Amino acid sequence: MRIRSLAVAALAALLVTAACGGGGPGAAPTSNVPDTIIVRAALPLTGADATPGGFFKNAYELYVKRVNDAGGLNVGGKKVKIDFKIEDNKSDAQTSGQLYEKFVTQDNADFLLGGYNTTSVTQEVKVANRLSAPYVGSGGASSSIYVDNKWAFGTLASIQKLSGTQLAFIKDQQDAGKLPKPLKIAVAYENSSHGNEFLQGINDGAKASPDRYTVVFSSAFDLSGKDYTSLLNRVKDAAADAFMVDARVGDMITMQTQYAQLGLYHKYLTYGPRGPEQQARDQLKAQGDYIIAATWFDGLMPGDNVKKFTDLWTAAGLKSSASWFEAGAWEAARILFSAIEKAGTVDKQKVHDTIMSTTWDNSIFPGGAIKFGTTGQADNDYVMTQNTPNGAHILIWPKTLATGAATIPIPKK
Amino acid sequence: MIETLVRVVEAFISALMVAGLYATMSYGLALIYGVMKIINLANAGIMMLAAFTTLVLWQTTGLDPLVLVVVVAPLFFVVGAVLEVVVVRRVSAAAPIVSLLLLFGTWLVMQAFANLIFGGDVRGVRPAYIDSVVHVGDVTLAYNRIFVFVAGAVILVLLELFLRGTFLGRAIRALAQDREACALVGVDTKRVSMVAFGLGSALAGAAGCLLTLVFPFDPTNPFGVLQLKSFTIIVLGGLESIIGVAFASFLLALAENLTVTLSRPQLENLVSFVVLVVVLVVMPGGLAALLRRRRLA
Repeated sequence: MRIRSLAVAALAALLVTAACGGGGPGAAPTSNVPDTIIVRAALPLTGADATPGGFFKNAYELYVKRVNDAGGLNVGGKKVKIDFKIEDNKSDAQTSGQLYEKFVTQDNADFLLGGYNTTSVTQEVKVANRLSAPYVGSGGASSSIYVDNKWAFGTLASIQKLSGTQLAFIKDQQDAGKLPKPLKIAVAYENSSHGNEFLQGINDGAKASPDRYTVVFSSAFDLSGKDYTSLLNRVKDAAADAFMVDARVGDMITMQTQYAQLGLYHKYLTYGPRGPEQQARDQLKAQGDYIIAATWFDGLMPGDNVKKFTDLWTAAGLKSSASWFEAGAWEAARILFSAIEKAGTVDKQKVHDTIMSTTWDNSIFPGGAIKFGTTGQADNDYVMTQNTPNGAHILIWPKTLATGAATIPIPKK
Repeated sequence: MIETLVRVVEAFISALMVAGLYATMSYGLALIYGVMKIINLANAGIMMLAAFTTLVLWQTTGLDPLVLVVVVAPLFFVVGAVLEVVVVRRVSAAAPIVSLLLLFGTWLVMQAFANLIFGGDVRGVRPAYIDSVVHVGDVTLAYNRIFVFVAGAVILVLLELFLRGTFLGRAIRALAQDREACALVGVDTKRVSMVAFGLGSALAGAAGCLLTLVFPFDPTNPFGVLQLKSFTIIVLGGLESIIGVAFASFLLALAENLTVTLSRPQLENLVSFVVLVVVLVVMPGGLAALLRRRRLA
């Protein structure tokens, strides 16, 4: 009697497990797969970050349209359409967090695509973790976002790695005799975790190789500054060889304008990931020439995948060019939807595990593949660019991707 | 030691340059508060729309913003006057919070409108002299900042001449002192309020126009931060004093620049808001009240 009861209980447990979608990846019966999956994203469609928000929107919508036009995702042999909606977070981090909470608790979203800018993404990742919702994004590179993270994945490599990449390039230039050893560096960085990590990366490099890099000045500055004269004069007094800045586009334009007006000169000048953006080039004209940047993607990169992506962008007739904003959002969407197909289920844990355990080949990012680390952040290489006269730019690093020789030291005007 | 002294002098001169813009964007706020006892939260929105108007006019006509200010300021006088008649007048008798919220809403509408028309891209005006500088000893001054300072000073003089030398100007000052007495002696308070709001908006429009020479901008930035600085300036200067506003603009810019020069640059904005809190607590009447007290003593 007792054995019979145990057998019945075991059978019941098995049935319940099966009903909950248990079993290995791809083993879920198609009856458990819904006809549509709900995916949501909050983006800054208005406010300060409306421009990059628009780039993200274009990429997400184009990706989802292509999937749905092809009949949907293939989940365990069943074609599943994507119910995708974007809501405007008005460039406000709190609003973004609230929207993601609503997506999961009211819209019953199965999966989330990420928003843009460090502060917003930080809030979004907190919500994703609190509500155990798989989230893939490309709008935040600061490592602080991914502390104690489980459910979120970020396709952008860290800001410290950005600094490290620039130092590796500088090392190469020192070995070629183009930059002095040690290089005296002045650092100015925006007062945010993004900026702090930029400085940290440079300090780490200087600590590891004091014979190559010396930080002679470092200072944070407030966002949306109106006059950088005093800061730039302090940079001038530091008599550095290199000026390395981490700034947003608006601040970069103001600072670089004043930098040129004050007649400052450095052999090496960077604004972190900023430089080749069309907005900055349009504004700065010749003042923006020779600025060096390290970024997560550039449309000039060689390779079939990159060409296909940029061609797709041109064919779609979208106003924006294929920059790292669109490329990152595209990769986030590609990884999330590919993971659902690969997992063969919409089970959140299984999709999460698939994202984490897979090396996502055929990437348009440098290296051609994305693999997430234990924190959920990707660790891809950066590609470095240098602005050239007439509003163009070239790839200068890594050597395998270079489309031209860097002009180092920067010529005096 | 000498190097630090040079940097302090530079900070002083740089503050003077920035003060021109600070003052221009704050005059309107002070004027409207003085006459109507309303904090015009749409001031930043008007500056922003004026900046975009300047951009469009610069792109289409090629005229310098220093010239365009003559077109943009009157245009925004009309915008302000219409805003006063259609929106503000309806709530002028209500509790202050009502006009505050209404004008905040107006600012948001303006932002959404600019986003819709111009998008969120960072824009800017780049006149031919953007690279030009003048050297005074060790101090380098950019032409664009000198021009903005001079324009701000000219606007201050013209405003003072208007307020002291014309009947309408005197009526505005009288209304700021005693609205009821003005009504009793036959001043058309509604008309004068409309003119004051229009004038305040024209000044914000002029500031928006001049600002394009110095800052890149989008529908949000840098107008929000500048609006907050304007509050600090009018509180420091005395809410109804135009000359006080001019002095306060310089003092705030100097405090910010000295902070960056002698301390940590990221404390710059903090200084503005500490000044706001301290002035509200220690001398709520601002510099103007302080000077009045000294004169009486």
